[in-house]
Amino acid sequence: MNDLLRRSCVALLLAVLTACSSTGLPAGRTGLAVFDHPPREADRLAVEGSGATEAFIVEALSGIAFRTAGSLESLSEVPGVRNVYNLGPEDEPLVDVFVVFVSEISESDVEQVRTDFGAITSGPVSIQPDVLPAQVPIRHIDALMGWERIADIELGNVGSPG
Amino acid sequence: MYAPRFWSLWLATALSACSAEIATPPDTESHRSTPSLASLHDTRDGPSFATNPDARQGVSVFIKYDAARAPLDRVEQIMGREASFTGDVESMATLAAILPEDRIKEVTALSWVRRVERGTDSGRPGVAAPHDRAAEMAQAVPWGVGHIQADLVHQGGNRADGITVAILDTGIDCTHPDLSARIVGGYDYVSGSSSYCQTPGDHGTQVTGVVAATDNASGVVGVAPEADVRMYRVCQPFQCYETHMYYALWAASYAGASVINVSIVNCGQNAAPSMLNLMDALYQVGRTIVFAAGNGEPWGCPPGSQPSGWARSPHTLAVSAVEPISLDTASAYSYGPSVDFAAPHRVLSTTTGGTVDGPYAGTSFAAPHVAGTVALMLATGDYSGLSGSQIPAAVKSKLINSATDMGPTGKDNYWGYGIIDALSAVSTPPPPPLSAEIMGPFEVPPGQSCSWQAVVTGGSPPYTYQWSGALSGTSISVSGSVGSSGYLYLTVTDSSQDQEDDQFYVLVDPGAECLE
Repeated sequence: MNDLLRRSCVALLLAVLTACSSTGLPAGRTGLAVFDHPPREADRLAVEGSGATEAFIVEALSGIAFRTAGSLESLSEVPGVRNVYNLGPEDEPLVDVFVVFVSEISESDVEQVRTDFGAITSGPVSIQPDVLPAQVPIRHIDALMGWERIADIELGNVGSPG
Repeated sequence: MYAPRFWSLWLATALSACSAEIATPPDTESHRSTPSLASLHDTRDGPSFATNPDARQGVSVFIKYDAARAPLDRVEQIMGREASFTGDVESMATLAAILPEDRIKEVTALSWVRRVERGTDSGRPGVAAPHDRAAEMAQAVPWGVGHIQADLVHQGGNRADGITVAILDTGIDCTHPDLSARIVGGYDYVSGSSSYCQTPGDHGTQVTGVVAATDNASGVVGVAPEADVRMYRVCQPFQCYETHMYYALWAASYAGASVINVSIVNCGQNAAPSMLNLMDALYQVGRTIVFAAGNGEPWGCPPGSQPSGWARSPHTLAVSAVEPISLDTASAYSYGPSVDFAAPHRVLSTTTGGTVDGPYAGTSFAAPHVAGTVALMLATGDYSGLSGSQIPAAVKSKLINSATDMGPTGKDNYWGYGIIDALSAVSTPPPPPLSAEIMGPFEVPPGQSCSWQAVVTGGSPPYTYQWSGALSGTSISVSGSVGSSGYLYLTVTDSSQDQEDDQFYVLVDPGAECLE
């Protein structure tokens, strides 16, 4: 990438940051409630009954994604919820996952995950050539899991310094 | 200017396009025309912190809030009260902030605030106060460094020269006079760039100071004051993503770090299986990975929380924290059978100024005492004849044998094997590598009971035994009648969780006897 393009990117970034910082807060945020059992429609309704909206089941992660203008904490009280993850204010948030392939990952696999499923990834590392750490739009998770090349999708954890 | 709290999705798209060539992580092995991780988590979660470098000098406070009532602009509300830094740990309903002392009362009165705790009294991971470098008039030996007798190791000439310690954390103040000479590289997986030299929250700077603050005329001295440090920024600053940690662990190992300190906790949640597999693989190639056990209820974790899933791996060292003087484990911290060792926390002076009343506490600051000690051990050269998993296994064995046992005799849930002692750990060579061999008859008659014995040396007793194949059992020997020819397998595990296998072919022959 030449310097001009790089500077253009930086300028775009700064412009966007300035705009974002002056527009205030969005109305809500997206969360993911992970259940201790495969969630069903009744669980989805329970999530919406706890003040969430737009809830949908994410089978591959045994969870239900939702939007809320309130606190995420209240969702942890829904029966069967094991953990609630904050996915940020976006309508189409990305989620941290380890995508486990059925065999060693090829470059075309990585490209397909990026293009077909909107993922961002730095590729696998050689110690585990069948594992792809990635950030995937949550609405694409189940479709990704349905791809024949995929053996499993593991949800990444969030830690804190301490 | 405040850091922006939320970025939009289209920003992520723009950044992804722009960053396709901007940031190729220099330490990772595989990039493959990588769209960088830049902005990724900013996009996903929004940076739940804000800074204002022009604010008045303040003190560290922890603001516990009512999650059901707290407004979405709570960070902004605190920043509006002249905070120089505010970070939101939403999962723990806590804001960490640096606030002028005369504004604390005002914050306490906010309807959604349950209470405000001063950092110096909280026992929580610290948030750095601005450096008062004028106060750095003379070097201090922190109590933790003295308690584990690392200063006596230094007097003997061992300062961990030539050993590389990687630290996964929030970034580092690369200009700090106690650290600038120590830093040899790293990467910022949060922004997808090499900009690990930054200090939001400053947790990483303080942790690094415990490991490797230079032995000079100012500030403090660390446990391993001549170790090289690689900083991998994986937190932003109060949320640390497992995929970032995954890449950083691999990059640290790939770059040659023999010790990796991770002062990151997660209230006892399980680690992703792929992360555990990676840590096992790094153990097999000789890396020693040290994890903070966790801060339990004071950090907002459920009562009785175990150490983090990462710390519970048998191939990492989980470190709990002990108080000064009493040497009691900090009450209500995370504990359980996976705790390996205890070490000082409540760091009274780390790299922030020369005073002895720093606000840094928690297992974050206990773990680097162990990481620094491991660096000193490796610098002795006593481990250079070992390879692969023999190295971390021998390190753990030696730490076990040299620790000061506390509480109930032997390993327990609070101190693990005890409080580490750097002087003792470097004073004698490690035990020989674990070795296991099956002894017994290799030709046996059908229908007759025979016995086989495990002969085990080295490692760190006591051992456990697992027999399988032709016969099974869990004792030091196994007896029985072998129906048909086949292999007898033995796996021996020592107290440091190192394992050795052996196999033995048993031939069934009507003319044989039960003789060796």
